[in-house]
Amino acid sequence: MRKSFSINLFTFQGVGFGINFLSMNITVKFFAVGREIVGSDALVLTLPDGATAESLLWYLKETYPQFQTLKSLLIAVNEDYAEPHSTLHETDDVAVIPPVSGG
Amino acid sequence: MQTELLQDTYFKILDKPINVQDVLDAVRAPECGGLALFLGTVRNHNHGKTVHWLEYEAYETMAIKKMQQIAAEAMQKFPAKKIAMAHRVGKLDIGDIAVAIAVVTPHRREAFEACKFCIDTLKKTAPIWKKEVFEGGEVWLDACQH
Repeated sequence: MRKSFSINLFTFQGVGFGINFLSMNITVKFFAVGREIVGSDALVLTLPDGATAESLLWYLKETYPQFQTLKSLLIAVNEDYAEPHSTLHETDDVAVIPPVSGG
Repeated sequence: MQTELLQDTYFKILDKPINVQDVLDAVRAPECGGLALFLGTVRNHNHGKTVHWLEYEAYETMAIKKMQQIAAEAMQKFPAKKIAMAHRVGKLDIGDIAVAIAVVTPHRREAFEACKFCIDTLKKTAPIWKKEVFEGGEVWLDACQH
């Protein structure tokens, strides 16, 4: 299984008016059914500066439509569940949390 | 709710059998007369299917942080003095202990209530998953809409 590879999310933001958008590389961890969907336990994604938990989820559901079939999908930032509008930063510990089933 | 983390108690994700005595030892308190222990074990059937075994997986560091948050919240809601939690990962056979939670309180009633709060909240929020391997297939439990 691939340990990690890179995907360019920057292109989704579009480029206009000659402005140089800043981007950041974020390592995103995957678990359980999420790991099986992307085929890796971590991906390095290039995200536009200011990307949020919600925009990451949107990207994942577009890129891997199987995510749309899950009952829920959450983002954890630094080991806490993130609000949809939370901004992601390059140093953040980011993980995708599919429906939990412990116990 | 943002709660203070408890650092000095027993919160573990284990890839080997849970030692229930360790969980009990972690919550002994002389001022407490009620100790409730919950053990979750692997059942041999689910939704009419025969289960062969379960495979558990956790986002370990976050799961431990969640356990600490849940325990801190339980101590605010109930007169619990000490709480310990352990969850196992890896392949578990029928009858194996998947989760153990122990709570001590001054009296028995709150011990049951606090323990129930902990297991209910752990099941809802801790980043832990189980894959069920049954006759003719396998599935991540509760993952998909249909």
